Amino acid sequence: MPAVARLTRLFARRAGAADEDPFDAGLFSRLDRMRLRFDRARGARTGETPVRGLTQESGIELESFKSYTPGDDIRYVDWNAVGRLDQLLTRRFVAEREIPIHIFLDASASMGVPAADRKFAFAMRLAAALAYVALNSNDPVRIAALRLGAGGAEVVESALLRHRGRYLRLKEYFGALNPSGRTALAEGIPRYLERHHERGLAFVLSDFLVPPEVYEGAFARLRARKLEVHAVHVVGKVEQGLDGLQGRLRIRDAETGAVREVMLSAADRRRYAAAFAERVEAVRALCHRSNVGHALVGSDDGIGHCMTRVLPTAGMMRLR
Amino acid sequence: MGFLEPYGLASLGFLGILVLLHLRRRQQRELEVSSLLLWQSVRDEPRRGRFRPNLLFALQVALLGALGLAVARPYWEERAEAVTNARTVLVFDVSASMQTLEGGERRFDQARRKGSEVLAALDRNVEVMVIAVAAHPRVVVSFTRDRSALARALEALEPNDGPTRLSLGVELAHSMASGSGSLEIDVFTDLPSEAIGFSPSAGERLRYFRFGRTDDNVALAALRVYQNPFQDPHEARGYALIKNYAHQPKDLKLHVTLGSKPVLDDVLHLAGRESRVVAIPKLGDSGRLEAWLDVSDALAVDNRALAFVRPTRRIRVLAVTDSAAVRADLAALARAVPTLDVRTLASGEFRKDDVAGAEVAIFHAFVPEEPLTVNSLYSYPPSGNGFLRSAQDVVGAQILDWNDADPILHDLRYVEALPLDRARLLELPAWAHTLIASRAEGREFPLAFAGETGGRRVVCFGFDLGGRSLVKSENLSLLLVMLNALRWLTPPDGVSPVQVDVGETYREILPAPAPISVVAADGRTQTWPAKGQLSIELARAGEYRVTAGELTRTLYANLFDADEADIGRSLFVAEEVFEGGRSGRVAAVVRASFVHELARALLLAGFLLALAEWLTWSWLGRAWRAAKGV
Repeated sequence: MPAVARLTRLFARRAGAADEDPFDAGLFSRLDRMRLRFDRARGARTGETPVRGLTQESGIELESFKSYTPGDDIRYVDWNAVGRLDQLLTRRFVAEREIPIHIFLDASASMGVPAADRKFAFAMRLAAALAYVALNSNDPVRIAALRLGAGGAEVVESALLRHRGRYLRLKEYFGALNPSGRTALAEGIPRYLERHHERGLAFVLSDFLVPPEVYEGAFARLRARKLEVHAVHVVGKVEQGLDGLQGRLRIRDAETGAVREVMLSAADRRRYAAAFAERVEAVRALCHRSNVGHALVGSDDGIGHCMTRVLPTAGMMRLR
Repeated sequence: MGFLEPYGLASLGFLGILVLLHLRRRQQRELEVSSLLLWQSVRDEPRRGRFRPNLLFALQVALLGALGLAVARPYWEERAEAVTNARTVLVFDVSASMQTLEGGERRFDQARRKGSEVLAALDRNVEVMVIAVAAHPRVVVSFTRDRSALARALEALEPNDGPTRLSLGVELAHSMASGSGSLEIDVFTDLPSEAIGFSPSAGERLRYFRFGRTDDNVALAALRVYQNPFQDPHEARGYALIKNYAHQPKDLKLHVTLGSKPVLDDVLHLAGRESRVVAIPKLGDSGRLEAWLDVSDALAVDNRALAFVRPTRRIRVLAVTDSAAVRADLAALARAVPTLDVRTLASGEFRKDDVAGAEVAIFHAFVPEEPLTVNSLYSYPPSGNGFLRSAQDVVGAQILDWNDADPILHDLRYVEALPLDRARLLELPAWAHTLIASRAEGREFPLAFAGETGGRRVVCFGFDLGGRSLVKSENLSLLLVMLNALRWLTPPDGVSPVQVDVGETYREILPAPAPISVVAADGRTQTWPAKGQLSIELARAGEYRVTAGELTRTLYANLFDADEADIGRSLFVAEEVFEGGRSGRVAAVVRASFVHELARALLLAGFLLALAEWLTWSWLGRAWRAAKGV
């Protein structure tokens, strides 16, 4: 489907959905049915998420048998098999690991502009919803807000949440965040990875309004650390269509402060919309090439809709 | 360059308001965007400053400027280095003969073309006047240097159907320019120069341009209906006079209709310069008599004529006399003339109210004491009356002279034969003129006189009608005088059309002032506000319908003018120049300037700019809607 058409459908969804509260109990009931979907991601610690292809001596789901070798715990010898086959076999079970979830939230100034789109607020709510789903599976979650300040990359991390009961701590965390500074995907993610080495699943929530090499490098870093990466592309309706804007404009980049004076006509608006669609398509194509999941979400879309429709369609979520 | 209303320039202040509006519309907006990466496809505003006029703005500025300047009424002053006070008058003959076709073109068109050439050749500083002359001269354009106005006036000039009095036009030109510098009068006509009888004075110059040679014309020179007031339509006789003014014989057809009924279709062959009278028989009925010639000639306006056959009209006559002989005579007269309706009273029976139904009153040896309003004939008035002063009776009066131009004595040859056994010696009132002068007893006195007084016509015979019988053959002169007097006293018939020659002015006193409407022969209608008198110049041949309040009149205008119909010009001189003697009246050199006001042109420009501005706005709007996909 062409990117323009996708964007158009995206913004045609029900009004008022953007105001859904991720800490609303009503939304929890819908999210309780969902869980994160992953392919290779797993953590080192034992958890509740079965990991195919990885076995352990004890567990719930039998995976295979193997010949006994010295050193194996004799408690796991299958004595019934010994009786029938006269061989010492030990049982191997599907390993259950926790899946560490790393949510990178772009907290640059561009996420706050245009104010009518409320992209950053939406991204925060989406991050909270993802964290809820992860905690629902007893997977640890850490959210890191990234921006490039005057002193370099700033990574504002939340505490590592391991239980659903800690979920409401995110309220306080999000309350302290506001969009400012420049985008720090290239600088913030390496700094984060220096401190945290757990493999797992990484969500990058951003408007990706940076040169492609920036987020391409960031994805490469994450994948190099064996993280399964999903990119959630947040766009705003006003940002896409300019809302009938025309005439003489003095535009200022919210992040760099660069200024241009333009004369915006209807033809210019059409060119702008085409460039916007090209940019969305470029992000999607790069994700596809880099084996990174990609989902396009609109800031006025509902959290519930995103979590139950958009992200499952993009292969990031599934029903339990 | 200057301004007649310089304060009007203040209206140009609206230009400032327009610029402010334009700047406000183009005011720059500050906008924070998420990233300039998305705006790379949008072009930068050209660095030409904030004020960037477009076509619409330019048109609006031009429109406001034009209107503002128009309010100030600018003018452009052209200073002439040397302007003479020389004057030229173009006198155009616009009579009927100028309609003559010469090789497919009218003589007047040739004259007008020549006039335009003369006008174009004149120095533009020379003041020019245009006079058109037909029956009366008329100033078409007074002295001006505006060549375009003169050219327009020449284009609008057309010949009419009337005669010409060219000398009046030249005299008018001479009088209008008197006292000025040098004067040149250019006359454009088909008449020979002898027709004007004018010699230029010192410092004057007369140029005479003549047009036309053909004599190919046959005319209805007259159309007459002979019908006196005592005759009915059966007794009326019609005559048409056809004249061939060409020197070549002509074949033609004469058609005559009475009302819509043909009464005569005659084929005629006329030799060169021959005239022929054609009697129109069997009129028999009243109505419009129209005659026209079916002939191929160069002048058509004289090929048609109108006349009228009156219906039977009874004339009511009141006779007051104590004479049995006069009563018997009047009764015999009434029997002989069926249209006369005579009522006779004795003087003792007369009351003032008796004249109410009469059109003519005859008083024999009696004068009413009270003033009357009816036209009256007095015979042998008694002495001592308050209206006609008479001294004494005379016997054997001798007739000395009579006024044969008066309609009462018109064509009467034997006035001396009037029976003058007894007559009254009368004094001539101030309002009357003498009809017959006589002498008796060593004194001259008016034996008969007529005139108008108190709004009525009065005829007075000093002799006694009762002396001789009216109906005896030896008293034929007396009978004719009596009938002529009755005819003159009979009030005009207000219903029957009046036959008038083209070029004449029809005048009539109205009973009361009333608005006047005239439908002319060419179909055009003219109206005037309330006036007390009709005064209509008949410039076209044909029927005129006049309405003034409740009064209606029909006028038949005919061209019976031999001078106009005789269009042949044997001796042709294209141009003659007559110079006056030298004098001190030479063209003086004065300083002058021409002022050309530009307001009208600016208003026109404003209108065109408004139209262009609207079209541009409409076009831009369509383009904007197309871009929006509306």
